[in-house]
Amino acid sequence: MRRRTLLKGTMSAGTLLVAASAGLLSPQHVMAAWPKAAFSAKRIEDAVQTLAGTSSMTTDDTSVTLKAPPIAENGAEVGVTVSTSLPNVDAISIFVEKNNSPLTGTFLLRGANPFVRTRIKVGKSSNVVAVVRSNGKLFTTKRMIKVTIGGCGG
Amino acid sequence: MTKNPNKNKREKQSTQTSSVETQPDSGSQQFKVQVRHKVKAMVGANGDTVVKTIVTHPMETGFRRDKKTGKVIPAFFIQEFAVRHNGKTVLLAYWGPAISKNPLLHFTFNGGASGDKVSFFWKDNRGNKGSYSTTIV
Repeated sequence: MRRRTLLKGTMSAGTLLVAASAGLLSPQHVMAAWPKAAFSAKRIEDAVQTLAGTSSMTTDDTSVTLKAPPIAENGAEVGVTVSTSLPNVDAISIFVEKNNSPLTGTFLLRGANPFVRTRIKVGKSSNVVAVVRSNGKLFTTKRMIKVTIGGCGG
Repeated sequence: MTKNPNKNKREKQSTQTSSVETQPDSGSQQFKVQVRHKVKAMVGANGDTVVKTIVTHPMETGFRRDKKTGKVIPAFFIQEFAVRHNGKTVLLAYWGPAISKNPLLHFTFNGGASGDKVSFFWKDNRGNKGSYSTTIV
């Protein structure tokens, strides 16, 4: 099992790398391969490993900002904003720790500023984790989101 | 009641909503989707270009069950979303089923000027794809 994930991981990390470089060289090759292994990974570390080729992350709560509501009444639509003051950011990924598959989405910035806002699904109360890549290194921060079912608050 | 449609209409105009519907290139009957979009690109206070867009898509996870039949609703979600400014890609996103229904994307980039073209491309896991564009105001 472990070997399998490792294999899958290295394979798709390879394709991602190829895709990224192809994209850099020729902008018309926008639609590269969707990183299936990362989206089916069951742990954040595995998904990060698949996406970035490493799972070593530095927790940086001051430079990486994750805005999210502390209590979400509707887990199907939770607005999250990730931004960072770190330089040369080329990727932002958002994870929900307790979702079946933690990776919600990954945003590759090709000149876009390190700021992304979107809406994600949070199955049950969980940490939401943002991972940004700055100068090739990974930085992360997390925030607890409490999901109330039925919308009664509290 | 009569006020609401007017209000909506005004909002739509201000956000440059286009009612153009993108037809899927392929896909079975079950996975046909009429994707509508809402988009706004404007020069922000500090000179960067602010892009906000919503596309309509069910974003089915593949875990939900139909309440009446008990059958699993198959996964159906946008996987790839790209944004280009004057033909050059500025952002490429890979999405999973945990992005909310009718995905929203809000981001900024530098170097955009009023009148520039910003175009958007999407592709879902059933082979449907589409694109739309707007000009920076």
